[in-house]
Amino acid sequence: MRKVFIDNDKGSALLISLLLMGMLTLLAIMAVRSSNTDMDLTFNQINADKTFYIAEAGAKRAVAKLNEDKTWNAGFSNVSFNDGTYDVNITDSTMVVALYDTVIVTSTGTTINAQSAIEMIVAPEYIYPFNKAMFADDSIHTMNGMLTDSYNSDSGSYADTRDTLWGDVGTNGTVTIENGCLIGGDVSSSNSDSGIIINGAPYIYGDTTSEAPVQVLDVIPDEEFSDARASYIPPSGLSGDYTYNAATGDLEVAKGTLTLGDGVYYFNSVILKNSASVEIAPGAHVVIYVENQVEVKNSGNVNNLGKPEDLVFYSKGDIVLKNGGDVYGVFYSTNGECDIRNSGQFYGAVVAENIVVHNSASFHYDRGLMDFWKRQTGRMLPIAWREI
Amino acid sequence: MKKLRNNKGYTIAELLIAMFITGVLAAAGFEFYISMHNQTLAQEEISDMQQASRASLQDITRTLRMAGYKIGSHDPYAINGDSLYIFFNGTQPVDSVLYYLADYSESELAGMASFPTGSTPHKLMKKVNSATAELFADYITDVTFTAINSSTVQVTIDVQAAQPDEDFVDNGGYRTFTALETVNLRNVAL
Repeated sequence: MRKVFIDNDKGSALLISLLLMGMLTLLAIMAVRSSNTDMDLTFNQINADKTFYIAEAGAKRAVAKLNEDKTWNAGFSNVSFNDGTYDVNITDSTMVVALYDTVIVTSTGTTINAQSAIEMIVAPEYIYPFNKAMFADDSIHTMNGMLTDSYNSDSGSYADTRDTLWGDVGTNGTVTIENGCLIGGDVSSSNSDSGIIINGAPYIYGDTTSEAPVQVLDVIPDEEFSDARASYIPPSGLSGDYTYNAATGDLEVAKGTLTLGDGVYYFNSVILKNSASVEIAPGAHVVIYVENQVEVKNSGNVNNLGKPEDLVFYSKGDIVLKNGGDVYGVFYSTNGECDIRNSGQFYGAVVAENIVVHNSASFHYDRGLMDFWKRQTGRMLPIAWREI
Repeated sequence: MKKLRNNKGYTIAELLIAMFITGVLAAAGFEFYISMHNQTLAQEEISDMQQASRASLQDITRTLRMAGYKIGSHDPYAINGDSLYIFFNGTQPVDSVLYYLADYSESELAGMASFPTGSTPHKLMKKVNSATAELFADYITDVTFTAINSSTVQVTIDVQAAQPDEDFVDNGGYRTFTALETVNLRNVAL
Protein backbone atom coordinates (compact mmCIF):
# COMPACT_ATOMS: atom_id res chain seq x y z
CA MET A 1 0.00 0.00 0.00
CA ARG A 2 2.70 2.36 1.04
CA LYS A 3 4.67 1.55 -2.07
CA VAL A 4 1.67 2.33 -4.26
CA PHE A 5 1.19 5.71 -2.58
CA ILE A 6 4.77 6.70 -3.12
CA ASP A 7 4.90 5.40 -6.63
CA ASN A 8 1.79 7.25 -7.55
CA ASP A 9 3.14 9.96 -9.82
CA LYS A 10 -0.20 11.23 -10.94
CA GLY A 11 -0.63 14.82 -9.73
CA SER A 12 -1.42 18.39 -10.53
CA ALA A 13 1.58 20.21 -9.00
CA LEU A 14 2.53 21.73 -12.35
CA LEU A 15 -0.99 22.93 -12.98
CA ILE A 16 -1.34 24.44 -9.52
CA SER A 17 2.11 26.04 -9.72
CA LEU A 18 1.26 27.54 -13.11
CA LEU A 19 -2.05 28.87 -11.81
CA LEU A 20 -0.42 30.37 -8.76
CA MET A 21 2.36 31.85 -10.83
CA GLY A 22 -0.15 33.31 -13.24
CA MET A 23 -2.08 34.93 -10.42
CA LEU A 24 1.06 36.38 -8.86
CA THR A 25 2.26 37.65 -12.24
CA LEU A 26 -1.09 39.38 -12.79
CA LEU A 27 -0.83 41.02 -9.38
CA ALA A 28 2.72 42.10 -10.08
CA ILE A 29 1.81 43.54 -13.48
CA MET A 30 -1.06 45.50 -11.91
CA ALA A 31 1.21 46.90 -9.23
CA VAL A 32 3.87 47.83 -11.77
CA ARG A 33 1.30 49.48 -14.03
CA SER A 34 -0.08 51.56 -11.19
CA SER A 35 3.35 52.66 -10.04
CA ASN A 36 4.32 53.34 -13.67
CA THR A 37 1.50 55.86 -13.91
CA ASP A 38 2.72 57.48 -10.71
CA MET A 39 6.22 57.57 -12.07
CA ASP A 40 5.03 59.15 -15.30
CA LEU A 41 3.17 61.78 -13.31
CA THR A 42 6.25 62.49 -11.27
CA PHE A 43 8.47 62.68 -14.35
CA ASN A 44 6.05 65.05 -16.02
CA GLN A 45 6.08 67.19 -12.92
CA ILE A 46 9.87 67.21 -12.81
CA ASN A 47 10.08 68.09 -16.50
CA ALA A 48 7.50 70.84 -16.16
CA ASP A 49 9.40 72.34 -13.22
CA LYS A 50 12.66 72.00 -15.11
CA THR A 51 11.37 73.79 -18.21
CA PHE A 52 10.04 76.58 -16.03
CA TYR A 53 13.43 77.21 -14.50
CA ILE A 54 15.17 76.83 -17.87
CA ALA A 55 12.81 79.45 -19.31
CA GLU A 56 13.54 81.72 -16.37
CA ALA A 57 17.28 81.27 -16.86
CA GLY A 58 16.88 82.32 -20.50
CA ALA A 59 14.90 85.41 -19.49
CA LYS A 60 17.48 86.38 -16.88
CA ARG A 61 20.31 85.99 -19.36
CA ALA A 62 18.40 88.23 -21.75
CA VAL A 63 18.05 90.90 -19.02
CA ALA A 64 21.79 90.70 -18.36
CA LYS A 65 22.43 91.05 -22.08
CA LEU A 66 20.11 94.08 -22.26
CA ASN A 67 22.06 95.67 -19.44
CA GLU A 68 25.21 95.32 -21.53
CA ASP A 69 23.56 96.64 -24.65
CA LYS A 70 20.15 98.31 -24.59
CA THR A 71 19.70 97.92 -28.32
CA TRP A 72 20.25 94.18 -28.30
CA ASN A 73 17.23 92.42 -29.72
CA ALA A 74 18.59 89.33 -31.43
CA GLY A 75 17.30 86.95 -28.78
CA PHE A 76 18.61 83.43 -28.22
CA SER A 77 17.74 80.35 -30.20
CA ASN A 78 17.87 76.76 -29.03
CA VAL A 79 20.47 77.28 -26.31
CA SER A 80 21.24 74.09 -24.37
CA PHE A 81 20.81 74.45 -20.65
CA ASN A 82 20.52 71.77 -17.99
CA ASP A 83 18.99 68.87 -20.00
CA GLY A 84 16.85 71.22 -22.04
CA THR A 85 16.94 74.25 -24.26
CA TYR A 86 15.67 77.80 -24.16
CA ASP A 87 14.60 80.21 -26.84
CA VAL A 88 14.37 83.92 -26.14
CA ASN A 89 12.48 86.42 -28.26
CA ILE A 90 12.90 90.15 -27.81
CA THR A 91 10.27 92.69 -28.77
CA ASP A 92 11.40 96.31 -28.56
CA SER A 93 10.49 99.70 -30.00
CA THR A 94 12.13 98.88 -33.32
CA MET A 95 9.39 96.30 -33.82
CA VAL A 96 6.55 97.91 -31.88
CA VAL A 97 7.02 101.68 -31.75
CA ALA A 98 4.54 102.11 -28.89
CA LEU A 99 6.88 100.22 -26.57
CA TYR A 100 9.14 103.30 -26.49
CA ASP A 101 11.90 102.40 -23.98
CA THR A 102 10.34 99.13 -22.81
CA VAL A 103 11.48 95.70 -23.95
CA ILE A 104 9.44 92.51 -23.82
CA VAL A 105 11.44 89.34 -23.23
CA THR A 106 9.69 86.06 -24.01
CA SER A 107 11.61 82.99 -22.97
CA THR A 108 10.55 79.42 -23.70
CA GLY A 109 12.13 76.47 -21.96
CA THR A 110 11.83 73.03 -23.55
CA THR A 111 12.66 69.53 -22.38
CA ILE A 112 11.31 66.17 -23.51
CA ASN A 113 7.51 66.31 -23.23
CA ALA A 114 7.36 69.69 -21.54
CA GLN A 115 7.48 73.36 -22.33
CA SER A 116 7.17 76.54 -20.22
CA ALA A 117 7.17 80.14 -21.28
CA ILE A 118 7.84 83.31 -19.36
CA GLU A 119 7.22 86.88 -20.36
CA MET A 120 9.26 89.57 -18.72
CA ILE A 121 8.80 93.27 -19.29
CA VAL A 122 12.06 95.15 -18.94
CA ALA A 123 12.37 98.92 -18.70
CA PRO A 124 15.12 101.42 -17.94
CA GLU A 125 15.61 102.23 -14.29
CA TYR A 126 14.59 105.76 -13.43
CA ILE A 127 15.50 107.85 -10.47
CA TYR A 128 14.02 111.06 -9.16
CA PRO A 129 17.00 113.09 -7.95
CA PHE A 130 14.91 115.77 -6.24
CA ASN A 131 13.20 113.47 -3.78
CA LYS A 132 14.81 115.28 -0.85
CA ALA A 133 15.23 118.91 0.20
CA MET A 134 18.95 118.57 -0.27
CA PHE A 135 21.12 115.71 -1.38
CA ALA A 136 24.89 115.64 -1.57
CA ASP A 137 27.10 112.96 -3.06
CA ASP A 138 29.90 113.65 -0.63
CA SER A 139 28.87 115.73 2.39
CA ILE A 140 26.29 118.02 3.92
CA HIS A 141 27.09 120.43 6.71
CA THR A 142 24.32 122.41 8.37
CA MET A 143 24.94 124.90 11.14
CA ASN A 144 23.94 128.10 12.91
CA GLY A 145 20.24 127.77 13.03
CA MET A 146 19.35 126.64 9.54
CA LEU A 147 15.98 124.98 9.17
CA THR A 148 14.27 122.73 6.65
CA ASP A 149 10.61 122.00 6.15
CA SER A 150 8.42 121.42 3.13
CA TYR A 151 5.46 122.66 1.14
CA ASN A 152 3.78 121.66 -2.08
CA SER A 153 3.76 124.11 -4.96
CA ASP A 154 1.34 121.86 -6.86
CA SER A 155 -1.31 122.25 -4.16
CA GLY A 156 -0.92 125.81 -2.99
CA SER A 157 1.22 128.43 -1.35
CA TYR A 158 3.89 127.79 1.24
CA ALA A 159 1.64 129.14 3.99
CA ASP A 160 -1.21 126.81 2.99
CA THR A 161 0.75 123.60 2.45
CA ARG A 162 3.61 123.86 4.93
CA ASP A 163 4.61 120.66 6.72
CA THR A 164 7.29 120.22 9.37
CA LEU A 165 8.24 116.93 7.69
CA TRP A 166 9.64 115.95 4.26
CA GLY A 167 12.39 118.52 4.42
CA ASP A 168 14.75 115.56 4.09
CA VAL A 169 18.51 115.81 4.07
CA GLY A 170 20.48 112.96 2.51
CA THR A 171 23.96 112.07 1.34
CA ASN A 172 26.04 109.18 0.10
CA GLY A 173 28.77 110.41 2.43
CA THR A 174 28.67 112.30 5.71
CA VAL A 175 26.03 114.64 7.05
CA THR A 176 26.99 116.92 9.93
CA ILE A 177 24.24 118.68 11.84
CA GLU A 178 25.25 121.28 14.37
CA ASN A 179 23.49 122.70 17.38
CA GLY A 180 20.56 124.98 16.72
CA CYS A 181 19.56 123.44 13.40
CA LEU A 182 16.03 122.25 12.82
CA ILE A 183 15.58 119.49 10.26
CA GLY A 184 11.90 119.09 9.46
CA GLY A 185 12.40 115.73 7.80
CA ASP A 186 14.56 112.62 7.66
CA VAL A 187 18.33 112.58 7.80
CA SER A 188 19.91 109.79 5.80
CA SER A 189 23.35 108.67 4.79
CA SER A 190 24.72 105.64 2.94
CA ASN A 191 27.88 105.67 5.00
CA SER A 192 27.17 103.29 7.87
CA ASP A 193 30.57 103.99 9.49
CA SER A 194 30.27 107.64 10.41
CA GLY A 195 27.63 108.88 8.02
CA ILE A 196 25.76 111.05 10.51
CA ILE A 197 27.50 113.41 12.89
CA ILE A 198 25.30 115.33 15.29
CA ASN A 199 26.84 118.04 17.45
CA GLY A 200 24.88 119.52 20.31
CA ALA A 201 21.14 119.10 20.29
CA PRO A 202 19.66 120.00 16.94
CA TYR A 203 16.00 119.18 16.31
CA ILE A 204 15.39 116.36 13.84
CA TYR A 205 11.69 115.78 13.33
CA GLY A 206 12.04 112.78 11.01
CA ASP A 207 13.97 109.52 11.10
CA THR A 208 17.71 109.12 11.03
CA THR A 209 19.47 106.33 9.15
CA SER A 210 23.03 105.73 8.06
CA GLU A 211 22.09 102.72 5.95
CA ALA A 212 20.25 104.39 3.10
CA PRO A 213 20.82 102.94 -0.38
CA VAL A 214 23.43 104.77 -2.43
CA GLN A 215 21.86 107.23 -4.85
CA VAL A 216 23.56 107.55 -8.20
CA LEU A 217 24.17 111.22 -8.98
CA ASP A 218 26.12 111.26 -12.17
CA VAL A 219 23.12 111.15 -14.43
CA ILE A 220 23.47 114.16 -16.74
CA PRO A 221 25.41 113.07 -19.78
CA ASP A 222 27.82 115.59 -21.30
CA GLU A 223 25.86 115.48 -24.54
CA GLU A 224 23.02 117.19 -22.77
CA PHE A 225 25.22 120.18 -22.06
CA SER A 226 26.60 120.22 -25.61
CA ASP A 227 23.10 119.86 -27.06
CA ALA A 228 21.91 122.82 -24.98
CA ARG A 229 24.95 124.80 -26.06
CA ALA A 230 24.35 124.00 -29.73
CA SER A 231 20.64 124.80 -29.69
CA TYR A 232 20.64 127.97 -27.59
CA ILE A 233 21.19 131.17 -29.53
CA PRO A 234 22.05 133.87 -26.99
CA PRO A 235 20.57 136.14 -25.91
CA SER A 236 17.18 134.78 -26.99
CA GLY A 237 14.62 134.51 -24.22
CA LEU A 238 16.32 137.15 -22.11
CA SER A 239 14.62 140.48 -21.54
CA GLY A 240 14.95 143.33 -19.06
CA ASP A 241 18.22 144.08 -17.32
CA TYR A 242 21.22 141.87 -17.97
CA THR A 243 24.73 141.77 -19.34
CA TYR A 244 25.68 138.90 -21.60
CA ASN A 245 29.30 138.41 -22.59
CA ALA A 246 29.19 136.62 -25.92
CA ALA A 247 32.89 135.81 -25.80
CA THR A 248 32.85 134.03 -22.48
CA GLY A 249 29.18 133.04 -22.33
CA ASP A 250 28.75 134.66 -18.91
CA LEU A 251 25.41 136.09 -17.89
CA GLU A 252 25.37 138.79 -15.23
CA VAL A 253 22.49 140.70 -13.74
CA ALA A 254 23.77 143.55 -11.59
CA LYS A 255 20.61 145.66 -11.32
CA GLY A 256 16.90 145.71 -12.08
CA THR A 257 15.00 142.64 -13.20
CA LEU A 258 15.79 139.98 -15.75
CA THR A 259 12.82 138.17 -17.26
CA LEU A 260 13.32 134.72 -18.72
CA GLY A 261 11.07 133.30 -21.41
CA ASP A 262 10.19 129.66 -21.90
CA GLY A 263 13.04 127.47 -23.09
CA VAL A 264 16.43 125.85 -22.57
CA TYR A 265 19.43 128.15 -21.95
CA TYR A 266 23.15 127.60 -21.90
CA PHE A 267 25.67 129.86 -20.14
CA ASN A 268 29.22 129.57 -18.96
CA SER A 269 28.23 131.18 -15.67
CA VAL A 270 25.25 132.98 -14.16
CA ILE A 271 25.80 135.76 -11.64
CA LEU A 272 23.13 137.81 -9.89
CA LYS A 273 24.08 140.62 -7.55
CA ASN A 274 23.19 144.02 -6.10
CA SER A 275 19.50 143.34 -5.49
CA ALA A 276 18.91 142.24 -9.06
CA SER A 277 15.84 140.07 -9.46
CA VAL A 278 14.88 137.31 -11.85
CA GLU A 279 11.37 136.65 -13.03
CA ILE A 280 10.01 133.87 -15.16
CA ALA A 281 7.57 134.88 -17.88
CA PRO A 282 4.03 133.69 -17.10
CA GLY A 283 3.56 130.03 -18.00
CA ALA A 284 7.22 129.59 -18.92
CA HIS A 285 9.44 126.67 -17.91
CA VAL A 286 13.09 127.58 -17.82
CA VAL A 287 15.98 125.13 -17.85
CA ILE A 288 19.46 126.62 -17.66
CA TYR A 289 22.62 124.59 -18.32
CA VAL A 290 25.63 126.21 -16.72
CA GLU A 291 29.17 125.13 -17.51
CA ASN A 292 30.64 126.77 -14.39
CA GLN A 293 29.31 128.56 -11.34
CA VAL A 294 25.91 129.93 -10.46
CA GLU A 295 26.08 132.80 -7.97
CA VAL A 296 23.14 134.56 -6.44
CA LYS A 297 24.64 137.10 -4.04
CA ASN A 298 23.03 140.09 -2.32
CA SER A 299 20.30 139.79 -4.88
CA GLY A 300 16.60 140.48 -4.88
CA ASN A 301 14.01 137.77 -5.34
CA VAL A 302 14.38 134.98 -7.85
CA ASN A 303 11.27 133.54 -9.46
CA ASN A 304 9.20 134.45 -6.43
CA LEU A 305 5.99 134.42 -8.46
CA GLY A 306 6.52 130.93 -9.82
CA LYS A 307 7.10 127.32 -8.87
CA PRO A 308 10.60 126.00 -8.19
CA GLU A 309 10.31 123.53 -11.08
CA ASP A 310 9.89 126.43 -13.51
CA LEU A 311 13.49 127.51 -12.90
CA VAL A 312 15.93 124.63 -13.10
CA PHE A 313 19.70 124.99 -13.06
CA TYR A 314 21.90 122.10 -14.23
CA SER A 315 25.44 123.08 -13.46
CA LYS A 316 28.87 121.53 -13.57
CA GLY A 317 30.28 124.07 -11.13
CA ASP A 318 29.59 125.62 -7.76
CA ILE A 319 26.30 127.08 -6.63
CA VAL A 320 26.39 130.00 -4.20
CA LEU A 321 23.22 131.47 -2.73
CA LYS A 322 23.85 134.14 -0.14
CA ASN A 323 22.52 137.33 1.37
CA GLY A 324 19.72 137.20 -1.14
CA GLY A 325 16.01 137.58 -1.27
CA ASP A 326 13.65 134.67 -1.76
CA VAL A 327 14.74 132.07 -4.28
CA TYR A 328 12.37 129.59 -5.94
CA GLY A 329 14.31 127.10 -7.97
CA VAL A 330 15.89 123.70 -8.47
CA PHE A 331 19.65 123.41 -8.48
CA TYR A 332 21.61 120.40 -9.66
CA SER A 333 25.37 120.13 -9.77
CA THR A 334 26.99 116.73 -9.82
CA ASN A 335 30.48 117.90 -8.99
CA GLY A 336 30.10 121.36 -7.52
CA GLU A 337 29.86 122.80 -4.05
CA CYS A 338 26.65 124.39 -2.92
CA ASP A 339 26.86 127.16 -0.33
CA ILE A 340 23.65 128.59 1.07
CA ARG A 341 23.89 131.26 3.75
CA ASN A 342 22.33 134.39 5.19
CA SER A 343 19.69 134.20 2.58
CA GLY A 344 16.05 134.93 2.70
CA GLN A 345 13.99 131.90 2.02
CA PHE A 346 14.94 129.11 -0.35
CA TYR A 347 12.10 127.12 -1.98
CA GLY A 348 12.84 124.06 -4.06
CA ALA A 349 15.60 121.46 -3.88
CA VAL A 350 19.35 121.20 -4.22
CA VAL A 351 21.56 118.33 -5.35
CA ALA A 352 25.33 118.80 -5.31
CA GLU A 353 28.61 117.14 -4.45
CA ASN A 354 28.95 119.03 -1.16
CA ILE A 355 26.39 121.25 0.51
CA VAL A 356 26.95 123.78 3.30
CA VAL A 357 23.97 125.59 4.76
CA HIS A 358 24.38 128.10 7.55
CA ASN A 359 23.45 131.34 9.30
CA SER A 360 19.69 131.05 9.55
CA ALA A 361 19.09 129.98 6.01
CA SER A 362 15.57 128.59 5.68
CA PHE A 363 15.18 125.77 3.25
CA HIS A 364 11.65 124.87 2.12
CA TYR A 365 11.53 121.69 0.07
CA ASP A 366 8.84 121.56 -2.59
CA ARG A 367 7.12 118.18 -2.34
CA GLY A 368 5.90 118.68 -5.91
CA LEU A 369 9.47 117.84 -6.97
CA MET A 370 9.31 114.27 -5.71
CA ASP A 371 8.39 112.94 -9.15
CA PHE A 372 10.00 115.75 -11.10
CA TRP A 373 12.67 115.16 -13.74
CA LYS A 374 13.13 111.44 -13.84
CA ARG A 375 16.41 110.18 -15.13
CA GLN A 376 17.67 106.88 -16.46
CA THR A 377 20.45 105.28 -14.50
CA GLY A 378 21.51 103.19 -17.47
CA ARG A 379 20.33 99.96 -15.94
CA MET A 380 17.52 97.87 -17.43
CA LEU A 381 15.26 96.33 -14.82
CA PRO A 382 12.43 93.82 -15.10
CA ILE A 383 9.20 95.57 -14.16
CA ALA A 384 6.67 92.81 -14.75
CA TRP A 385 6.82 89.05 -14.93
CA ARG A 386 4.34 86.39 -15.86
CA GLU A 387 4.14 82.81 -16.95
CA ILE A 388 2.36 82.34 -20.26
CA MET B 1 -13.86 -0.43 -19.64
CA LYS B 2 -11.05 -1.49 -17.49
CA LYS B 3 -10.64 2.05 -16.16
CA LEU B 4 -14.29 2.31 -15.18
CA ARG B 5 -13.96 -0.70 -13.07
CA ASN B 6 -10.98 0.75 -11.35
CA ASN B 7 -12.10 1.01 -7.76
CA LYS B 8 -8.87 2.26 -6.38
CA GLY B 9 -9.47 5.50 -4.41
CA TYR B 10 -8.18 7.70 -1.69
CA THR B 11 -8.63 6.77 1.85
CA ILE B 12 -10.47 9.14 4.15
CA ALA B 13 -7.14 9.90 5.86
CA GLU B 14 -5.54 10.87 2.58
CA LEU B 15 -8.48 13.09 1.71
CA LEU B 16 -8.44 14.76 5.12
CA ILE B 17 -4.72 15.44 4.91
CA ALA B 18 -5.05 16.76 1.36
CA MET B 19 -7.99 19.00 2.36
CA PHE B 20 -6.11 20.25 5.40
CA ILE B 21 -3.02 21.14 3.39
CA THR B 22 -5.12 22.76 0.66
CA GLY B 23 -7.03 24.69 3.32
CA VAL B 24 -3.88 25.99 4.96
CA LEU B 25 -2.39 26.95 1.59
CA ALA B 26 -5.62 28.58 0.45
CA ALA B 27 -5.96 30.49 3.73
CA ALA B 28 -2.38 31.69 3.48
CA GLY B 29 -2.89 32.63 -0.14
CA PHE B 30 -6.12 34.44 0.65
CA GLU B 31 -4.51 36.28 3.52
CA PHE B 32 -1.64 37.26 1.25
CA TYR B 33 -4.04 38.43 -1.42
CA ILE B 34 -6.10 40.45 1.08
CA SER B 35 -3.07 42.16 2.50
CA MET B 36 -1.73 42.83 -1.00
CA HIS B 37 -5.10 44.22 -1.97
CA ASN B 38 -5.25 46.43 1.11
CA GLN B 39 -1.77 47.63 0.46
CA THR B 40 -2.60 48.43 -3.14
CA LEU B 41 -5.68 50.35 -2.01
CA ALA B 42 -3.68 52.20 0.64
CA GLN B 43 -0.99 52.93 -1.91
CA GLU B 44 -3.58 54.29 -4.29
CA GLU B 45 -4.96 56.46 -1.52
CA ILE B 46 -1.47 57.75 -0.80
CA SER B 47 -0.85 58.44 -4.48
CA ASP B 48 -4.20 60.22 -4.82
CA MET B 49 -3.49 62.23 -1.72
CA GLN B 50 -0.04 63.24 -2.91
CA GLN B 51 -1.28 63.95 -6.38
CA ALA B 52 -4.14 66.12 -5.12
CA SER B 53 -1.91 68.16 -2.86
CA ARG B 54 0.85 68.49 -5.44
CA ALA B 55 -1.53 69.51 -8.20
CA SER B 56 -3.19 72.10 -5.95
CA LEU B 57 0.15 73.35 -4.75
CA GLN B 58 1.44 73.65 -8.29
CA ASP B 59 -1.57 75.69 -9.36
CA ILE B 60 -1.37 77.94 -6.30
CA THR B 61 2.39 78.35 -6.84
CA ARG B 62 1.96 79.23 -10.49
CA THR B 63 -0.72 81.82 -9.75
CA LEU B 64 1.06 83.21 -6.72
CA ARG B 65 4.31 83.67 -8.63
CA MET B 66 2.44 86.02 -10.93
CA ALA B 67 0.86 88.01 -8.07
CA GLY B 68 1.16 91.73 -8.55
CA TYR B 69 1.58 91.54 -12.34
CA LYS B 70 0.86 95.00 -13.77
CA ILE B 71 -1.54 96.16 -11.07
CA GLY B 72 0.36 99.22 -9.93
CA SER B 73 0.10 99.92 -6.24
CA HIS B 74 -2.64 97.34 -5.63
CA ASP B 75 -1.65 94.71 -3.06
CA PRO B 76 -0.31 91.61 -4.85
CA TYR B 77 -2.02 89.22 -2.46
CA ALA B 78 -3.95 89.05 0.78
CA ILE B 79 -3.96 86.29 3.37
CA ASN B 80 -6.98 85.90 5.58
CA GLY B 81 -6.73 82.75 7.70
CA ASP B 82 -6.99 79.84 5.28
CA SER B 83 -8.01 82.08 2.39
CA LEU B 84 -5.56 83.47 -0.10
CA TYR B 85 -6.42 86.22 -2.54
CA ILE B 86 -4.03 86.70 -5.45
CA PHE B 87 -4.24 89.81 -7.62
CA PHE B 88 -2.75 90.34 -11.06
CA ASN B 89 -3.61 91.80 -14.40
CA GLY B 90 -5.11 89.30 -16.81
CA THR B 91 -8.52 89.59 -18.36
CA GLN B 92 -9.45 92.58 -16.18
CA PRO B 93 -7.48 95.54 -14.84
CA VAL B 94 -7.17 93.64 -11.58
CA ASP B 95 -8.04 89.95 -11.62
CA SER B 96 -8.47 88.14 -8.36
CA VAL B 97 -8.03 84.46 -7.70
CA LEU B 98 -9.23 83.21 -4.36
CA TYR B 99 -8.23 79.89 -2.82
CA TYR B 100 -10.13 78.94 0.30
CA LEU B 101 -11.27 75.98 2.36
CA ALA B 102 -14.95 75.12 2.44
CA ASP B 103 -16.82 72.61 4.59
CA TYR B 104 -18.50 69.63 3.00
CA SER B 105 -22.30 69.72 3.10
CA GLU B 106 -24.21 67.16 5.22
CA SER B 107 -25.21 65.24 2.13
CA GLU B 108 -21.63 65.19 0.82
CA LEU B 109 -20.37 63.94 4.19
CA ALA B 110 -23.03 61.23 4.26
CA GLY B 111 -21.51 59.67 1.15
CA MET B 112 -18.03 59.52 2.66
CA ALA B 113 -16.31 57.31 5.15
CA SER B 114 -16.87 58.31 8.77
CA PHE B 115 -13.97 60.43 9.83
CA PRO B 116 -12.69 60.40 13.40
CA THR B 117 -13.67 63.38 15.51
CA GLY B 118 -11.56 66.41 14.83
CA SER B 119 -10.22 65.30 11.49
CA THR B 120 -13.13 66.07 9.21
CA PRO B 121 -11.52 67.23 5.98
CA HIS B 122 -12.54 70.22 3.88
CA LYS B 123 -12.56 70.94 0.22
CA LEU B 124 -10.17 73.40 -1.36
CA MET B 125 -12.03 75.82 -3.58
CA LYS B 126 -10.76 78.12 -6.29
CA LYS B 127 -12.69 81.18 -7.30
CA VAL B 128 -11.62 83.33 -10.24
CA ASN B 129 -13.04 86.86 -10.21
CA SER B 130 -16.83 86.66 -9.84
CA ALA B 131 -17.18 83.19 -11.36
CA THR B 132 -18.68 80.37 -9.29
CA ALA B 133 -16.13 78.78 -7.01
CA GLU B 134 -14.84 75.46 -8.29
CA LEU B 135 -13.92 72.41 -6.27
CA PHE B 136 -10.17 72.21 -6.55
CA ALA B 137 -9.10 69.40 -4.21
CA ASP B 138 -10.80 67.01 -1.79
CA TYR B 139 -9.94 65.82 1.69
CA ILE B 140 -7.85 68.85 2.61
CA THR B 141 -7.41 69.14 6.37
CA ASP B 142 -5.60 72.45 6.36
CA VAL B 143 -3.91 75.06 4.19
CA THR B 144 -1.52 77.62 5.59
CA PHE B 145 -0.30 80.74 3.85
CA THR B 146 2.59 82.46 5.57
CA ALA B 147 4.30 85.65 4.42
CA ILE B 148 8.02 84.96 4.99
CA ASN B 149 9.01 88.43 3.78
CA SER B 150 7.59 91.05 1.47
CA SER B 151 8.15 88.93 -1.62
CA THR B 152 8.05 85.37 -0.31
CA VAL B 153 5.03 83.34 0.71
CA GLN B 154 5.07 79.82 2.04
CA VAL B 155 2.15 77.59 1.16
CA THR B 156 1.43 74.40 3.10
CA ILE B 157 -1.29 71.94 2.19
CA ASP B 158 -2.30 69.14 4.58
CA VAL B 159 -4.32 66.40 2.99
CA GLN B 160 -5.90 63.25 4.40
CA ALA B 161 -6.67 59.94 2.71
CA ALA B 162 -10.26 59.36 1.62
CA GLN B 163 -10.35 55.88 3.17
CA PRO B 164 -8.78 54.56 6.37
CA ASP B 165 -5.84 52.21 6.15
CA GLU B 166 -5.99 49.20 8.52
CA ASP B 167 -2.22 49.13 8.90
CA PHE B 168 -2.06 52.75 9.98
CA VAL B 169 -2.58 53.44 13.66
CA ASP B 170 -2.60 57.22 14.04
CA ASN B 171 -5.33 59.66 13.05
CA GLY B 172 -8.05 56.98 13.08
CA GLY B 173 -6.30 55.07 10.30
CA TYR B 174 -6.38 58.00 7.87
CA ARG B 175 -2.98 58.64 6.42
CA THR B 176 -1.95 62.25 5.98
CA PHE B 177 0.40 64.07 3.65
CA THR B 178 1.81 67.57 3.77
CA ALA B 179 3.04 69.41 0.71
CA LEU B 180 4.99 72.61 1.12
CA GLU B 181 6.29 75.20 -1.28
CA THR B 182 8.03 78.52 -0.77
CA VAL B 183 6.99 80.86 -3.52
CA ASN B 184 9.03 83.83 -4.63
CA LEU B 185 6.65 86.50 -5.91
CA ARG B 186 8.44 87.52 -9.08
CA ASN B 187 6.65 90.81 -9.54
CA VAL B 188 7.23 91.93 -5.98
CA ALA B 189 10.89 90.89 -5.90
CA LEU B 190 11.71 92.68 -9.15
